[in-house]
Amino acid sequence: MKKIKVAKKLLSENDRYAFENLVLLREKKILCLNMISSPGSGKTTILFRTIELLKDKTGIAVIEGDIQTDIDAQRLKVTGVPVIQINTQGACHLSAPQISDALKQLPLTNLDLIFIENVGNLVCPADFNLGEHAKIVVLSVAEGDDKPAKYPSIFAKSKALLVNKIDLLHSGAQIDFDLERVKIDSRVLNKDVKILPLSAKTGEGFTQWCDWLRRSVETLRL
Amino acid sequence: MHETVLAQNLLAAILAEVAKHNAKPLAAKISCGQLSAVNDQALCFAFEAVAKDTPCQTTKLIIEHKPLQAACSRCSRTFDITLHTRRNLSQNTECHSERSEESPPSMTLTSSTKRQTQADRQGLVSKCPHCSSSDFQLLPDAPLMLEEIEFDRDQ
Repeated sequence: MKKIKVAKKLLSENDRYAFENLVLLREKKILCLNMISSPGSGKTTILFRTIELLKDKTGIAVIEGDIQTDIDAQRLKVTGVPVIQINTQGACHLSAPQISDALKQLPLTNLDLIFIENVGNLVCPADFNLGEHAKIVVLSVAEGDDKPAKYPSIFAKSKALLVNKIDLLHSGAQIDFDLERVKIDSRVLNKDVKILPLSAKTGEGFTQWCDWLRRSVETLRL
Repeated sequence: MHETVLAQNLLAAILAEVAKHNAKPLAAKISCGQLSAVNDQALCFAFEAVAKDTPCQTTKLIIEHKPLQAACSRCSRTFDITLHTRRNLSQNTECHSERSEESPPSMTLTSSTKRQTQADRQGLVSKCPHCSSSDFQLLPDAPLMLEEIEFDRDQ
């Protein structure tokens, strides 16, 4: 009998591609954000409004991840920015080699900002680095205020938390959602997380979100 | 949920060592942190499936869960941290587990299935065990690693 030490990271192949993606994005000075949330939290609607507000002065592209269909990509193509659709054929997350292929199809020299819209899933995408500069987690108020406590991984790893559908809280709808609880729990997991309540429906909170994006793009260019 | 991907990565890593050592792998020890979405049973099941008809067909998996750590901003010391809510501390003793969500259904039929009342809706609580400060930063979670392999003979 013989024991041997191996000490090999199990996702090293994914991490290798992620590192290559990040090197390329840094070289081109393109900010890349990996948007992660449950299905139906409003990622695509947030992106639609964000692109419309920023596209005149910022070169934007989107990499769309979905298990099936190009419904989201078709929605976002209306904005006129380049959109690459990836169908994962059942896989619960995007992985770095898929992003590597997508980056080859984008006009990188014209871009300042790439959004990756991950597969709707609050669990698995958190474990796969894609080479992004930051993860952004989206939580809609209808999902409940216990999500940071129940799904700590993605809240611990995200640089910003977008609390979407905030308009529902003052619409008279019966929703048990305590924004303070979300803030406290998120900051236990990540004390520096930027928390931005907004509504992709009404546009509330988008000034702060877009300012944050502009500043992040500018910081990267310096 | 993505244990099959992990199992395929794990199998490839073990087979690479098998080729080097020319021996039969009896057991493989892997480690992961608290934030990885890894379920032991699902990983073992997936590994059994992908390892069928390979030299790893009977290899036993040993999975070590490493603690999550935090660094205190006040006293600068590090400590192991368990994420739990006040409610779980007081009521959830029957089902004490880091992974209570993934426990077998029979174990979750406790008071935890009751609708939470407003008073129960307490957030995450944790304090530095050295100075009681709640101002701390989580340290990076331990990555998924193949730690060691036990072979049937020296070679």
